[in-house]
Amino acid sequence: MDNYIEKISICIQKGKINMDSPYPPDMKGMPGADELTGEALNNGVKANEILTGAMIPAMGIVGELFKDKKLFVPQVLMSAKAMNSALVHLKPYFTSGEIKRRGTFIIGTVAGDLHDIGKNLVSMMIEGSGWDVIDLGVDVKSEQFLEAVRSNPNAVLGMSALLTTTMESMEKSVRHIRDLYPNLRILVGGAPLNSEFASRIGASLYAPNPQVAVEYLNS
Amino acid sequence: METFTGYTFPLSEHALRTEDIVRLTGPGFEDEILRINRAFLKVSALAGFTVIERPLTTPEMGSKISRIFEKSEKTALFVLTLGIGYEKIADAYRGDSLLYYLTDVIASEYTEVIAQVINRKIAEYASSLGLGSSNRYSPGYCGWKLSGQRALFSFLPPIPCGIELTDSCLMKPVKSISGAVAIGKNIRFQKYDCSICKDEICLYRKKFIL
Repeated sequence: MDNYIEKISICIQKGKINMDSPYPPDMKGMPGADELTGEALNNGVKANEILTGAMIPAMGIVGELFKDKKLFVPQVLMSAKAMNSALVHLKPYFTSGEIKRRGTFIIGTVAGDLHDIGKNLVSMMIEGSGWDVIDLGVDVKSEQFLEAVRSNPNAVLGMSALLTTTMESMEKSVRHIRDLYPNLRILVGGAPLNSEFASRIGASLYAPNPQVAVEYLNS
Repeated sequence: METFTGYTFPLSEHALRTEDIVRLTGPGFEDEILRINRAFLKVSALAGFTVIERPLTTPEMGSKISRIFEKSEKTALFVLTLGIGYEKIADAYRGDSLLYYLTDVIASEYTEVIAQVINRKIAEYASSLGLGSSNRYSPGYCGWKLSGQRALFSFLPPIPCGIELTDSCLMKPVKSISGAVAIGKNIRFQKYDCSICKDEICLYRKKFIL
């Protein structure tokens, strides 16, 4: 059983999705996270063990390596894809309640801003750490964030802004939501931001990279 | 010269090599890069510039850039875009996180390449008058506030090269660059210009593309 856990973990760390995937070249023709997860479940490995013993730790390792600039973005994306291919097999167990997500994370790029690459990366890393992610997309107005928070009372909220001009709309959104939900955990990220800005507008944390967001959520 | 001089630059004439892109994305995705890059070679970038007969001085430019521009006699204001050509490619790959990311990286590199081309065109224009020209500067960098886009666009024809400014000063289509180049007797191109700016997270600091 440990063998499956280790193999799935390696596939996720190296971004090996399935047998047909040519990436990474040194695993060409080998089964990926997709086949191995299916096989593991068929051979009696518990879904929770796959989630907590293989998938979450593997994505944690990937996040750490990326934070330390030892991985390029495409390698992280391949790991996220491999993780998603394993997650498909776990879906029925989430539905039945046999395994549970750590919580719900709502994410979006603020009004006036159309940048989505960084937001998508954070979204995938957080999903890989065991959270249910609600991605509101780009150009998200305060009201849309609020509606999602209302519908998911225990969720954590994440906002992204990549322009100095849209930092202003981030500030408006955070202040507006903070007035209504003083205890809500709000993470902000994006190249022009910093911790001082996050603290001044009432956000709980500035995440300079996805791993910092993951560590904060799991703390 | 106050008219807007427009250009069309087929990207096939400025093709990026796979190895140049791999330097940015890391190895292992050469086939995907080749495929996406091939799609870009069918795209043409649109670009153009207007020259005003005075230094550009706006409050949003900040002291560092203003010091360069106040020595100029003329200012060239330019825009360029990969236009809907990029958007069509991005839309085709939007559903795949890897291909979408690679498309974004390749498109950003092409906009930088075309920005260098238009910078050279402006330099040639300045040189034809016996004048020097500066590096290109853009709102959002080196202390020039992004809100400075509005003043910059006020010197250009409406919707230049099909580019519109949103309320947040984002250019649409995305993968567009706007900026200004100082022209004058005492203006010189600086090989590396990051020394005038202290922005540690600026993407140009790593690449020194000027």
